[in-house]
Amino acid sequence: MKFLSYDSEQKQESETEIRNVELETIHLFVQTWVPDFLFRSLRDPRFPYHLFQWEEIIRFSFWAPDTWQCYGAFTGTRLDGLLCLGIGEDKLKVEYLATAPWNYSDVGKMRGIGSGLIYFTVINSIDRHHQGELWLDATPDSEGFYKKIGMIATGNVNDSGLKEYAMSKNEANSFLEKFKKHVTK
Amino acid sequence: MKKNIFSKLFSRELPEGPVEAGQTLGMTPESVLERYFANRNAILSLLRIYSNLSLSDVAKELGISDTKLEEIEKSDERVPFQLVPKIAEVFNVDLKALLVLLGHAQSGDRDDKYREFSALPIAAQYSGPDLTKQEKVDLEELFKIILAEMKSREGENEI
Repeated sequence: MKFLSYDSEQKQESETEIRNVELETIHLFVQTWVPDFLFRSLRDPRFPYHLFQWEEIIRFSFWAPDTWQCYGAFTGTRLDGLLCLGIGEDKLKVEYLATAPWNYSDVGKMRGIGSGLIYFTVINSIDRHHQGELWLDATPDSEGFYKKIGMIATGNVNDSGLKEYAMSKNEANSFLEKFKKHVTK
Repeated sequence: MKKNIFSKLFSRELPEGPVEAGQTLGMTPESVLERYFANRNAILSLLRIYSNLSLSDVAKELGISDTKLEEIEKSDERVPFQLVPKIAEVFNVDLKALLVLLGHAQSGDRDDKYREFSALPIAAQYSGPDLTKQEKVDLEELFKIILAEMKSREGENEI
């Protein structure tokens, strides 16, 4: 899938592609996300970004491709986002979703990466006959984003204290309608 | 984003770890440094590259030779304490966070959910004078005390 993201530094739209991760994606993560995260954390110790161990998450997807699928959002050769889906029998869970550290927050470089990954997930859910429904455990600072795209807190909290959010069929359709103008392929 | 420049800084083999345990809140900068980098002081190379400064530029600012800086960047030895405030200034980074990453301090009761340092978290871990609880509250103030102590011992500590 390809969609238009917005480069707030260049002040222009770019095309971002979501595709399956490869071994090279792990190298991209380590060599671009990791140093960028450290640099930003040193500049601002309150940088609220959550850097997951994506190399392990991606490796696991190679080992269990039927239940754990990872995708990257690439703008050219740059890895701008990562997504890991847990494939259940009756519903689809977003296990991990992240935009790159340089895209994080309102002043980040690329806009629309998270929404593009959610759109991709909704389509994936429909393809699996789950009607666009999906759920996830949201980190505290990402709850605003999930609310904004129409997801609703279920009231459940996981072992790490993260609140569970869900997208229903109606919310999914509404989100698809809003985002589809950005989709190019 | 600077991919090729950094390749030498990383561990040759990525450590393996559980996918689930402690994952959902992400890693701390300290654990990131330990997990991915070949040595602790590689953070200095990273800061230099991100700041677009040469080895000579930084060495000059720190008042040490290029060779000494290169040696420090490649080693796992603790960076001399008295250099840390200047390093923070040169790279325009947070002093407390740098102290933690360079192993001179601990982040203590950090609230992982919001990545904040709490008010009393950082305990200096150097072989200087004993510190009272009150002194630990503000590490920048502590630096003044420690550096004054070092100055009084001038000649004993070589960088």
